[in-house]
This record gives sequence, C-alpha cells and structure tokens, in this order.
Amino acid sequence: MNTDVLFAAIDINKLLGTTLRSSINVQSAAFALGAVGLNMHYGFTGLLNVGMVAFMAAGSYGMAMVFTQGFLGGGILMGALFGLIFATVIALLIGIPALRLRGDYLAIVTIAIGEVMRIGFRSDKLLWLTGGPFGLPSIEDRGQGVSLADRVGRDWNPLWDTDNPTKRLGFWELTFDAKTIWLMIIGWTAVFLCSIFIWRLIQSPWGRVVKAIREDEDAARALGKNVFSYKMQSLIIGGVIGAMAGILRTWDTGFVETQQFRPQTTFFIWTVLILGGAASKWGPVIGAFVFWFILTIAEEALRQVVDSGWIPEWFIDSSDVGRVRLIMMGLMLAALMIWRPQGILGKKEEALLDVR
Amino acid sequence: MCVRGKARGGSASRQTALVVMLMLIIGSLFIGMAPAGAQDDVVLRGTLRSGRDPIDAVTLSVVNSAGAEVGTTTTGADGKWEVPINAADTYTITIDEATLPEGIGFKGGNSNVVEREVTELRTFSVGFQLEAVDAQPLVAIDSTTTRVLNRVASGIKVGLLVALASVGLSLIYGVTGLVNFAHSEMVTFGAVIAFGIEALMPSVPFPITVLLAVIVGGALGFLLERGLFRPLRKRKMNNISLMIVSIGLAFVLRYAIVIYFRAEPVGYKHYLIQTGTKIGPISLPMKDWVIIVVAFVLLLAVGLLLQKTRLGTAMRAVADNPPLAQSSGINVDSTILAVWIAGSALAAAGGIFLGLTQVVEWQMGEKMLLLIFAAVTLGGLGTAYGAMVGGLVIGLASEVITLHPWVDSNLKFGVALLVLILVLLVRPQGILGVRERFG
Amino acid sequence: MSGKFAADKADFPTSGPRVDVLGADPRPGSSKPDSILSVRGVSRSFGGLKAVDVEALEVQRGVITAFIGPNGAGKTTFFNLLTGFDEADTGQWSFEGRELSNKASHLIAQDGMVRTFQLTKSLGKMTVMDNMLLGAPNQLGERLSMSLLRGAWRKQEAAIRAKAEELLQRFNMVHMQDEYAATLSGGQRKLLEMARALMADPALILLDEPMAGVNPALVQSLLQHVEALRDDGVSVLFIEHDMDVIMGISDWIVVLAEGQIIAEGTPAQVSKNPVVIDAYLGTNTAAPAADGAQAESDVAPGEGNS
Repeated sequence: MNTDVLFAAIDINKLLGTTLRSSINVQSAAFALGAVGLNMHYGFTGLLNVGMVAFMAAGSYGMAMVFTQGFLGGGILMGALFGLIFATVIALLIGIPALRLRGDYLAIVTIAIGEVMRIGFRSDKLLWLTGGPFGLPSIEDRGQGVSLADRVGRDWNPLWDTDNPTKRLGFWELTFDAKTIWLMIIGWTAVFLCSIFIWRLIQSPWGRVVKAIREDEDAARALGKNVFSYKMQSLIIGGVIGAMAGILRTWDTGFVETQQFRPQTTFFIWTVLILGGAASKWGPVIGAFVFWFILTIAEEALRQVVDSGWIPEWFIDSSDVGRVRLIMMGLMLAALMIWRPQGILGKKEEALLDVR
Repeated sequence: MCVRGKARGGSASRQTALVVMLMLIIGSLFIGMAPAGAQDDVVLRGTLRSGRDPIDAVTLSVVNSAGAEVGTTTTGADGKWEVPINAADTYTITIDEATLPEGIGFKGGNSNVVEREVTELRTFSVGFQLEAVDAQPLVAIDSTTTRVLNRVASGIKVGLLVALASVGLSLIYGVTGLVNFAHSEMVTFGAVIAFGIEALMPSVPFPITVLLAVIVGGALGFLLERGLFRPLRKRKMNNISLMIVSIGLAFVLRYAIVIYFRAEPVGYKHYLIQTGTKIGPISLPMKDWVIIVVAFVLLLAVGLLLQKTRLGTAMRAVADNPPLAQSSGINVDSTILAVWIAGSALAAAGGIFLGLTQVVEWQMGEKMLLLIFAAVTLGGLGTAYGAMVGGLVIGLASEVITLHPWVDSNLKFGVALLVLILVLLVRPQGILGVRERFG
Repeated sequence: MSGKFAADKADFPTSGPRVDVLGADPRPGSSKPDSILSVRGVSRSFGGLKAVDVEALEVQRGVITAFIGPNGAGKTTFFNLLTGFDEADTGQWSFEGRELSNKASHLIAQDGMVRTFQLTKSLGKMTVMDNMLLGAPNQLGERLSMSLLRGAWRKQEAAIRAKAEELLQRFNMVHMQDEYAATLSGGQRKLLEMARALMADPALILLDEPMAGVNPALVQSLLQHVEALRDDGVSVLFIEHDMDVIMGISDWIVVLAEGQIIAEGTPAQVSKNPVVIDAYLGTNTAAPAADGAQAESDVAPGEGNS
C-alpha cells in the first residue's frame, strides 16, 4: 500500500468536521458537566471520588423512573428534580460512612457504591421500575404515551420546526438536528453556569475552608472548622452536578441502560478533568473538548487506516478499533499523571497533592 | 511512605513536549474520511449481550410484514447492530442461531425471533434475552443440609481464589502504599497465558502449563515494578498519582487482552466437562477439589514464606516500617520486587483456577476487582493474612447468600460490596489491620 | 547541649503580672486555686503499650504550664487526647467547667482550647493572610448559604482582616501577608501558626514543641510572644524539650514519664526533685542537677552532655 492511496482519501473538512462535532456535542457537554462535579470533589476539596457514575446513574435513573411512572405528576422537569434529589441522597449515603476515612478508602467505597447501584438497577427484581438488565430502551411516559425523546426534542424545544422535523441547523460540517442543538445549548450553558458557580464558591470564605481541608484537614479542625460537614457539602454539590450530567445524557439518548454506568465512564471523566486541569476554572471544559477531539480523530484515523489495509490484520482489525479507544484513555491517564499532572490549565503546585 | 532517590529535573518538560508531539503526529499521520454517520437514519437497533458482555459477530435479519427482507446485519465488537427502515410496519427480527458463540443461549422461554411494531417513523430498539449457558450445571440436590454444605464448599473454593488474587494486592499496598488497580488484570493475564500455552502445546500435562503460566505472570509483575512503578517512585510521585497511573494501566492491559486474545468466553481443553465427585455429602467436580487443595497449599506456602524465611521477614518488615527496615540492612527495593513477582504469580494462579472452574474471558479480572477490594479491606489493607481471611469470608458470604431465594448470582456481587461498606463503617482497619496512630 | 541553667527563677528576667503559684501544692495531680482544665483518669493504649495513664491533673488559669519528660513519655499523645485528635480509652476532662471528654476536635477548638502542632501545620498553599483569616471563628461567609451573598459577610470579613493585620503586626509579619506560607522560614511558620491560633481568642492554648526546628536567633522572640500571651490572660500549656527554655519561661512544670505524671511544681521545685532526675538519667537532654551551678562535677566523666 503506498501513501498516495492513503492521502488520496483525504477529506480534511469531513474529518475535522466529525471530530469537532464530537468535541462540542451533547455527550461532550455531559462529560464536561461530570468533570465540573468531579472538580468540586477532587480538584477543590481533595476527595478521591472514583464513583461519579453513581451520581450520574442517580440522575438518569431517577429522572427516567419518574418520567415513565408518572410519579408526582411526571414530566421532564419533575423527573430532573427527582434525579437531583436522588443524587443528594446518594451523596449522603456515601458520605456518612466514607468521608471519615482516608483517601484511598474513599476511592474504594465510591467505586463500590457505583457498582452496587448498577447491580441494583440491573436486577430482575426492579424490572418494573428500571427495566432491569435491559434498562429502559425507550423512555416513555406510560400514562401520557409520549416518549422522552419527543418531550425534550419536540414539545419543549423552541427550535423545533413541526413543518420540517428533520431540518438540520448549523454551518459547514457542524450541522445537527434541532433536538441536539437545543440540548447542546442547555448542556453547555449548564457547564458554564456551574463552572462559574463553583469558582465563586471557592473564592468565598466557604471556599477558603475547603481549600484548607484539601491541604490539611487536621489544621482545619484545630481551627474549629467542622471538616466532615464541609466535605459533605462539597460531595453533595459535586454530586448534584454529576446528576445533571447523567440527566443531560439521558435526555439526549432517550434511554437508560446499566452499561452506560460502568466504572469506565468514571475514568473517562477523570481523564477529562486531569487533562483539562484539576482545580482550575475552565479545566473541565477544555478537557472535554480536547479529550473527545483526540479520541475521535485517532479513532477515525485508525479506522480509516485499518480499512485501507495499511495496518496488518493481526495487529488491529476493524472490530478492535472501538477498544483502542479505551487503551488510549488508559495511556492518556497514565501519561498525564506522570508527565503533566496539572493538565492543560492547572498549576503545577496545585496538582501534586497528597490526598488524605 | 519513604521515597528513595532524587527526582529527575529538567527532562519533565521535554518529555511533555515529546508526548504532545507524538500525539499530534499520530493524529495527523492517519488522515482519512470519517465514515458516514448513521445516527440520523431511522433504524431498528439493539445491543446483544449476555449479562454484561456484548456479543459480537452475530447475524440478524429483519423482515417486514409482507415477508420481504429489509436488511441483514452483524453485531460489532460492542454487540450493537442496526438495520435501516423506511416505513411504519410490523417487523420480525431473527437471530441466526448458528452465529451465536458457544456457551450463549436464550433465557428460558425466549426465542431467537422478536416482533417489533413500528408505529411511527423513528428509531426503535429491539431486545433479545440471551445468557451464558453454564458449562457445569450443579447437580440437583435434595436435602437442605446437603445444599448448604455444597454452597459452603463452593464458597470456600471461591474464597480461596479471591484470597490468592488478593494477597498480592494487600502486600503491594503494604510495602509501597500503592493501591494497585491493575492487579485484577494479573488474574486475567494468568488465565489467558495458560490458555495460550495449552493451545500452543496441547500435549503438555496441564499442571506444567499452570506452572509455566504462573511464571509468566510473575514475570509481568517483575516488568511492571521494575519498568514502571519503581522509576515513578524514584521520581517521588505520590501514591494517589500512582494509583491513577495503575488505573490507566489496568485499562491498557484489559483492552490489549481483549484485542489480542478474544472477546468470547472460552474454557481450557483439559478437564473441560466433569461430573460431580462426591466426598461425603458434598458433590463437586474433581477439578474443584483439586483446586481447593492446591490453592490452600499455595496460601499455606505463602504463610510459611512470610513467617519462616528471611525474605518473608523482610517483606513484613518493609510493610511495617520501610525506613527502619532499610536501616536494618534490608534491601527495600529487592523486597518490593519480590513482593510484586510473588503477588502477580499468585494472582495468575488464581486466574487459571478461576478459568478452570468457570470460564476464561477478558473481563474475569475486572469482575473480580471489587471482590478483591472487599476482601482486602475486610481483612486489613497491608497484611497478607488479612487478605486470606478476607478472601475466604467474602467468598463464603457471597456463595452462601445465594441460598436465600431473593438473591441471584448477580446480586451476590452486591452483597460483597455491601459487606465492604459496612466494614469500613465499623472497623476501617479491617479484621487484622492495625488502627492508624494519629500524627 | 547543656547550657547554664538556674533552678532559681529569680535569676531570669520576668515581665508582666503573674499569678503567684509558688505556694501551690507540688504533688502530681494536685488541685489548683483556679483551674481551667481538669483531667481525671485518662488513659490510652496502643497494642499492649499504655502510652498515657494520667490519674489526675489540674491546669492553673493564666499561667504558663510546661509539659516535660523524656522522649516517648506520652506528652503529644496526651495533647491529642485532650484536644480531640485521638480517642481516649478511659477518663474524662473538663475545660472551663464544661465536660469535653471525647468531643470532636473542631468543637473543642470552638470552645476556646486551641492547639498547635509539632510539625507545623501552616497551610503552605495559602497566603499568610488567608491562614490568618481562617483562624477567626463564627464567620458568616463560611456558611454555604451565605457564601455567595457578599453583602452578608463583607463587613465581618473586613473586621477579621483588620484583626489579622494587628496580630501580624505584633508578630512582625504584616509585610508578608500576601506571601504563600510555604515560602516562609520554619520559625516564621511557627509564628504564623501561633498568630493564627490567637485569631480565635482562645482561653487556653496548647503549644506542641513551639521551639522545635526554630532558628536559635528566633527563639528569644518566640519566647517573648509566649510570655505576652500569658500577660494578656491566655493560659498556656506547652510541650518542650529544651531545658533552658522551660526553666526560663514556665510558671509551673508537669513532668511525664512512661505516660504518667511523676512530678509537678515550680521550676525550682522540679529541678530538685529526685524522681525527675531519675527519669532523665542517661538521656541526652541535660538533666536538672541537684543544686544548679555545679552540674559538671555531679556528672560522671563521659556521661551526660552530648
């Protein structure tokens, strides 16, 4: 295979377009939101939360359950509210035992809680509520007979054009359908607002205490600060934002299934946060963008090369390309921690903290 | 933990630049067209999986109400499939059973044919009820005591395997302070290597295969410590950062294994099907009996190593107080290396036995990870005996709990994790651990 | 190193009023005329070892009480127990008449019993001023509900800032208020920790080896600050090893060995106490000699001084 054939297949517009699309679409915004929440936990408070999916699952499933069952009136807003409350409950459940423990124990407990929730939701016993092992492939409001996808994309969407439902908005290669654009607007707005909210909190006296706790919680105790209470508040705030990320993703996909909430999602979010820069204001945003950019461009490129026969079958074949994504994530995470733990926007001194 | 050596300065930024450049070069070298996005077409789609695991290379066909074929497709590596449709109709989706991998069947009462009514032109999901068919069904037992005893025996077996896998994790934590998330992949690695050796040299007696695979497992541990974690410790990376590196490593190992091994579960050719051998009221396949004995002997050997040999004493000393151990003349680096080799070898052994008694598949380590964490936390992070005790308790608890009608095999994982959380609530240092002194 | 020391307090310059405790009962566990802290039956064991075993102790208000004893005597553990950083196995203690036993450490600090640490816990990643601001209690802005409503806490914050500047002025550190604490020298960090502890207007301050690791030139200055504390009415309890410091500044001394109080008294009384001398015999710290000046002649050749 010579390189002429390879380069003849260039359509830079298309490639860049696809990559940029995946960097700014709803999934990226959801990950950015998750990273904002994790930034509150780990970046600013020093909590080693390796169970962000638990909060996302609480948000997603909470909303889905209320929407499908019509509890308390149903509908997406009540659903979302319930998802956020559910996440708060989960935060309390995690926090009360785990926040008094050392950092590595907190890591283990948070992963465990995430898995317990996932296994619980997956259980046949809860089939009627959560769809059990199959999830809820198409979240529908059984009372009203309308699907979540429609509610979000059609009924509540100011950009929806009933005359032209499949209309695409945008420019150049970056075109999306009306529902996606609407969710992108909601999602990224949420990301920006939450980032600003958390930043302002950290700059306040409350944030001063949290920063002290992150560095040395015994010093904070000796100064009369109720360390447990602050950690719990941080856990709840970050957890609620994580739930928002889950809810956003579910609004986009229209279904929930337990496969979406495996630990690897948590690690994706960790990579996003570390890449962008923990404890920085806009780290999660940059991190999400760059993360999806790199992952997509590499995956697309790899797929192309594999299909064109440039890489021998025994090394990588076409069905492996999806998995290479995860190897890349692993490498990125390790490389970041070794060579640039502060990520893109972080400060070096901040990054090297010994979490209690 | 005491860190030896000086940090390398100056090369850090050069290395950053190198990594970024490499990423950019790799990215720009392979330029091609992006495949057409299918997400905007209207399709019937679904994901085929058994339990948590996606099933790939299965063929499905979609036929409309008039009997005309609308499309045929094959699931990808992620188990996903989709077939475009362009009309509202009632479609029949059929799985070609010949393409289902071995060991996968349909849950009781379900068939390979599903009908889906498409009321309006939008994407619909279709689900199939698949599950892994158990290669060794338990022989039906009558009396309750026999059932209980069988469960207990099974629990002891699982417990011993968990213990084998956990000792390494606990000891590595003890001597270096690192919570090694990649330890579970040693389990998978051992099982997979044994499979490979068996495939390459089928005439070799299985115990030799096991031995060889365990040695390779230990070698991987050696490489990881020598080539990755020791240099990083010398750079004064703190333990949390190293833990995150180990998380990344776990992903790399796991997905490298799935790419270069395979996604479907397989079994060893030796001792594949065995009926139960009764010893007293307990009926287990002969290989399970052997596994119990061998695993027990291995753990006993570890205990003897720790108590009676110089190396073992060195391991305990370094786990307790590295600077003191160092000043007593113990070579801490060599001890840590020995711990990594032994721990990885034990985990590999655990993986092979697990593969022998259940299946060999790329996620077996990942599935065990939380059980291992639970065992180690329960027993006390940092002590080998704690890991053994914890492993046995977790194994027993999770198997015995399935006696309760409410608990199925999925839920028993949840039980292990709940045990973990409760232990941390009440006694964070575990059964055998020592409470940390403040300051 | 042993220096010259005197058992008789009158040789050392003193300043400010001080409660006359010279008449107080010098037995271990004796009651004090006006005790601020009262301890009964407190013990703590690690494994089989009993690290702390204090039957009774009363700390007099408004004076400087020193805690001394050989290494491993249990002094820091005792501090940890009193301030809630460790859980006692048995016993109770009360502060200003209030029961404190096994109360959480932050609540004890809020009650007015503030401590510093042997390894200074000045928060290096925060500025000196931020460190100080943290020390102030009851800040409205620290509550989540109020933290974003700047108007609610602006005035209080300004008042706290003013107080911080005043304290920093006293400790001669006001010019470095915007520096990160990590850039300060060891002695300056000790001062910062002390100043920060004062932001809470504590009634009792516990200093854990305040002179450890401090540049000798700075020790005098630190000592003067400690005395100034007492003169302001703050009761001081401190752990130290350096005998010169202890003899020079303490109003009262409590001696711990193997977790138990073996002696109490004024510096003069303690230095003559044979039990105390026994406990110190053979250690490197210069032990108080039987009658002060002739230390050298009482010590066997080759022994004692390091």
